[in-house]
Amino acid sequence: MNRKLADTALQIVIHVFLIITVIAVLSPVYWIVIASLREVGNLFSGQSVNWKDLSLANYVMLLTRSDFLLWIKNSFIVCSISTIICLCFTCTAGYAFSRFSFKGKKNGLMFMIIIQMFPSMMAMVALYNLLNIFDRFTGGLIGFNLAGLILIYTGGNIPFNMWLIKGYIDSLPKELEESAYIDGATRWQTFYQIVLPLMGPILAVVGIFTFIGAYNDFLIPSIVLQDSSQYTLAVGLRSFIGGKFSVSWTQFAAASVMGALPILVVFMGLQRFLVEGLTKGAVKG
Amino acid sequence: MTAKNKLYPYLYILPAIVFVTLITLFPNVYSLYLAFTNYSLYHFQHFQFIGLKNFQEILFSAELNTFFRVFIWTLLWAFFSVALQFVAGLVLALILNRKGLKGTNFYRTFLIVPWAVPSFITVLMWAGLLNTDYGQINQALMSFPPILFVIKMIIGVNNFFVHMINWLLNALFNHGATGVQAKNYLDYLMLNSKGIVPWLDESPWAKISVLVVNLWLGFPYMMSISLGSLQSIPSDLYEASSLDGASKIQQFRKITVPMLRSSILPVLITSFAFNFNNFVGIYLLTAGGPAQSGSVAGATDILVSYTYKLAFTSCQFGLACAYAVLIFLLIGSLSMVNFKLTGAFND
Repeated sequence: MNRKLADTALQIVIHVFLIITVIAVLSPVYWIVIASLREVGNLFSGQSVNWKDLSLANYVMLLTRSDFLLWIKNSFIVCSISTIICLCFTCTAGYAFSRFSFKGKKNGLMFMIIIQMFPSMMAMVALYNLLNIFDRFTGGLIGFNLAGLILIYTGGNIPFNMWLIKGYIDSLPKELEESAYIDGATRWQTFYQIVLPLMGPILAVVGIFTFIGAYNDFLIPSIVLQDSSQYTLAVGLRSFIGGKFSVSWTQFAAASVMGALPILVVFMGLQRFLVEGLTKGAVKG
Repeated sequence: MTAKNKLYPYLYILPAIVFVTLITLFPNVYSLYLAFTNYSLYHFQHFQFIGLKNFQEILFSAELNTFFRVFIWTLLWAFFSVALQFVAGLVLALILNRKGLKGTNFYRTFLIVPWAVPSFITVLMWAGLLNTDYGQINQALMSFPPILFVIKMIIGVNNFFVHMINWLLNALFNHGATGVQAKNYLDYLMLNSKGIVPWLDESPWAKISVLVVNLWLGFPYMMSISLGSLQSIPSDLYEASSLDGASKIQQFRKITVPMLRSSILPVLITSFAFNFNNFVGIYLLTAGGPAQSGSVAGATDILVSYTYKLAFTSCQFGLACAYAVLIFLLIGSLSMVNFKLTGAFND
């Protein structure tokens, strides 16, 4: 009887602790959402929330009279194109590194590991010069713009993603491919029609994380993008707030909510799937 | 399975290799070369090879003070970031992993939210919340009566002493304009003149703030990882040991800790390396500030953000590349240790 009482007491303590933690963790989010609904003039009227005064004015203003939609569009263009190209290149490379034996395979794998150790900061000065050269040769098509950014993300994400995909193909059974090969399928058909369909889960995990990684990046676009019409959301939002929190805080809050929402929805929706995919990869190494 | 044509496998890896070589390998090698040149605003068109001079400047000149200060803070920042995130994550994971706890999924879903928000938005958001004058944090503190009372007391006592001492000084020396004035004791409490905490504007507070924000950002990842590896520990280990009369604490020390160690250690090292170079976590919150006299590097600048400033604010490209090479050497050796641990090379 005593034991049971102690157990219930412990359960209650745990629930109280967890609820306090959840409130502490979510309160910044709550503040931002409330701030985004406040009037532009009514900036810092203390903590009390007058529910009648809340409106969507900041959202309307952002969508109609600012570059917000342009930044979102730029971000989505860069992230989706670089993710797709990166996936195309890494799944063939991952397949070859997993299933073929060829000269230089070990060195190639080593190269892909070691290249990951370079901090992205290190390449930045040289990338700046490289983009200058591209700019001159392509007549401004690829340079200090979205195309240049796409190029950098594609190249930068290949090594890590290739490793993840190779690891996944390693874990697939070889028998299917062997029997298809014996039945007269070419290597490309074997890859394209048998292996690729099996790679759905890993391609989704890698693709989503590559997309989010590019969406989150501030360092590279802050150096590469020079024209404000090319800004991605990270750079645009930072230039928008620019230290003037007192002036545009409520609009910034609205932009934050809208900018976070697509990623939040995808992440929370696929939470189980993504977290499992990532933690498995991380724990396995 | 061998392809008939020996060149065939190379077709599959060619695009990846070409892109990586062009976008990653070539720029890094070129940066390595730039580290040995005087490439800067003054030598923009015609820079020369100057040997080890940049490294000499970092390690054997007045620059050493800055390097040392920034390096120590980078280590502390990375260490405490990982330690705080991990401890918070592990504690929550241990609680959520308890058998018979109701609502585990409910709590987990909400606790994972900080991970799901894009980090640049999180950090910019916190920069606003922690704003000394307008931020929600200080407003919340000020609207909490007990805290307000304490603040008023502190200011009152401070003002009393300042006035008393000034009055005494005046009385003794009879000319108030001599510049002999009492100190503002609020400085010792690291509060500003209004008695509130300058979260991002003063050095010790700014350092605490960046760490707290990084804790908020990073604990969900650690929690998920810990939860994942806790669940992978076979439950019969616990059952068998409890039959043998092991206590909960003994089980934790003899089963949980050893089982977690092998899977968590690589994650901690990777996370340390990530935070060592966590540019967004610092730059978008404080921009490296508050500024320190006599240096480009502010109080919260870590090596990457300092390198960024050297390259793209003060245009000392050669020196910046030398710093980048140092970062690479530090992180590269750490990664090597990690690869040894996880056995990535044994493939």
